[in-house]
Amino acid sequence: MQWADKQARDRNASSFLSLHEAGREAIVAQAEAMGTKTMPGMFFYQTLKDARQFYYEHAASWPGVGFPHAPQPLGFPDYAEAPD
Amino acid sequence: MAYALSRQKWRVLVLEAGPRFDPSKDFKLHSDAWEKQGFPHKAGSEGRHAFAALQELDPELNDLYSWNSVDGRLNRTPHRRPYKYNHVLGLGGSTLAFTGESHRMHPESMQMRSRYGVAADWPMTYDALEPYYCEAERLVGVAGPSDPGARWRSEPYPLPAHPLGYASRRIADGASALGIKWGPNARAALSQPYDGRPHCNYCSNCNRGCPRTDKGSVDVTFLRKAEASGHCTIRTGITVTRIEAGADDRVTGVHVVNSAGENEFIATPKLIVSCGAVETPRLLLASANQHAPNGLANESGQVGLNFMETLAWTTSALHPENLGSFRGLPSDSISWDFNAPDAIEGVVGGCRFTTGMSEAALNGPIAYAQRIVGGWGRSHRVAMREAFGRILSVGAIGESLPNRGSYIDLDPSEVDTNGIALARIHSQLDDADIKRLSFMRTTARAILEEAGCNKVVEEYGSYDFFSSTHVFGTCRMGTDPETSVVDSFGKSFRWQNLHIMDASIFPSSGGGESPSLTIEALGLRAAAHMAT
Ligand SMILES: Cc1cc2nc3c(=O)[nH]c(=O)nc-3n(C[C@H](O)[C@H](O)[C@H](O)COP(=O)(O)OP(=O)(O)OC[C@H]3O[C@@H](n4cnc5c(N)ncnc54)[C@H](O)[C@@H]3O)c2cc1C
Ligand code: SF4
Repeated sequence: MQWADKQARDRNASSFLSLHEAGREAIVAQAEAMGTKTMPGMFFYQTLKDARQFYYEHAASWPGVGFPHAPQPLGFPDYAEAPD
Repeated sequence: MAYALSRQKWRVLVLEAGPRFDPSKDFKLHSDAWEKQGFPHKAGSEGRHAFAALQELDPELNDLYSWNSVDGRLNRTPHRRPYKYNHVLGLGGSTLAFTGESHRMHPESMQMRSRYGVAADWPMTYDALEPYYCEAERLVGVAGPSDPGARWRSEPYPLPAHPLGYASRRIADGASALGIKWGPNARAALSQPYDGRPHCNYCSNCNRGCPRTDKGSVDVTFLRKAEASGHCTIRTGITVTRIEAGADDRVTGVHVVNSAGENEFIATPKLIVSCGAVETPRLLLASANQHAPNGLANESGQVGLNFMETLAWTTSALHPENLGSFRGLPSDSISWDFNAPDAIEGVVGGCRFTTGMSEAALNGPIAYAQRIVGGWGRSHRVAMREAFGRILSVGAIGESLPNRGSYIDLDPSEVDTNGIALARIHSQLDDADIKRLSFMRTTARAILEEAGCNKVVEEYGSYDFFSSTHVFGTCRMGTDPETSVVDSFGKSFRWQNLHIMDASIFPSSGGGESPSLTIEALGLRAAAHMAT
């Protein structure tokens, strides 16, 4: 986060979190581009992995991808038909 | 065997190292965390084993490396890497996590030595096993097709086959465009209510444990009936650490560590060892004594040798249409066209192909996000929406033949919590394995292309990872005590009251057949023989 805050200060903001969405995304993209051999890059890829898991393990995220419900207790008895 | 012997009013004591699972409580497919947790292991249900160094990879065989769209190549080392021997310690064993494909051996795959000069012949024919296959299928409630193919049947499957899923039908179309016959698989999953169990509701998650009990794992079929007979006692959390054997070619009992961590000695007039093809040889080798200095039942020197693994390949690709491919019965359809030992040109040993989305665990949003779609932010969410439900996977399993580099021994340095040396897995792929893998890869890709897929997104195979669900061969059965460990009924040639009954007694693996039904048929046959 220290690294991200420093990038934000270079953009005349007080901290990473105080930036608007596009500004934050630009810094995240910068960390991604640095690759896994750098600290910011390593942090980015690990956080992304954790975030994906955390996000999609919550049922609230499922409608957004078209996953209707947990496998049980309903199952998918319509499995032989085209999906809705 | 516990089922068949207790039915004959034999008093049977089952000693199980792992815990008992309660399907409705322990298999949490209804919870939000269903995907994250994989198979929901409980304390004591995960075994440990060691690996010897695996072989160097050949950069020329780039096509056979495992990869996915997000991480690229998955093994970046110059060596084949151990992933795992995938198994469960628990009442019902690895069938708790199995898919439930219920296969009979191809009759020719039981005569690999006399017909093709490799592996060893089975000491019985398919015809001798056929009645026991029928009995096992009835006990499990197998749902299968009416066409028997190369495996003649004396009666139809107890239940009709499951209709193919919407996504599987695309794969079937792709196969048939190539002239490959593709049809319903024989499945230990109920297509109708049967024997007090409900029918399958196509949740696509057999490998995470079936909470409905319609999947025919050993706990809800054979062991349930064994306990109900009133003649079978089951103790869980009991690890056998050593078999005691005397001077008179008889075993006297077993040393165990119970769930309270205490040592016990349990005497028995007859012992049947069924710890699986990695743990059975370990226990026999760890039970060496002055009468059997090379390990128990190892007069032939074959205990631990002839290890055969799961030679597997899966290709997954995106289809342009939303198929809802996270739904349905795992491995609901199959092609046996290349399963006979001479069916793949230029190599001995066959293979089979199935639908594979669920076994590849590509049936939930986390897997798509981590392995297929990648990215982040809004563009990631859009890509997820576009990809989800469109993956088709073709899985293949091929013949694994014994070779000198594949065996189980005792690890010289690593021990378990009871101080017993871990089983150490040695695995080597030879040229024929690599040819089979190449054929499996090429064919899987061709089927997906014909099915209309436009982008391959993941491939995973045995070339650069050891990952086995089916293991065999380490206490081979046969007719000759010089070259095999047990006879055709699983009885040790020397030790009069010692039997082995699990996949370790298979002389050959078959061309990708799943082994459980054959283990069950062998057990029923051996129990019938014992009772006479
Ligand atoms: C993910 C997965 C999918 C699979 N899919 C299929 C499929 O579709 N069809 C199929 O036929 N097969 C399938 N299999 C393989 C199948 O489950 C195994 O081949 C079969 O269960 C092997 O039976 P076994 O008796 O040899 O060993 P196991 O089932 O492994 O049973 C061995 C038992 O012995 C116990 N044990 C071990 N050591 C000790 C000890 N020292 N003391 C006391 N108890 C001990 C273990 O806890 C275990 O319960 C699959 C396996 C997995 C993991
Ligand atoms: S697909 Fe059927 S057999 Fe498999 S876990 Fe779901 S309900 Fe059980």
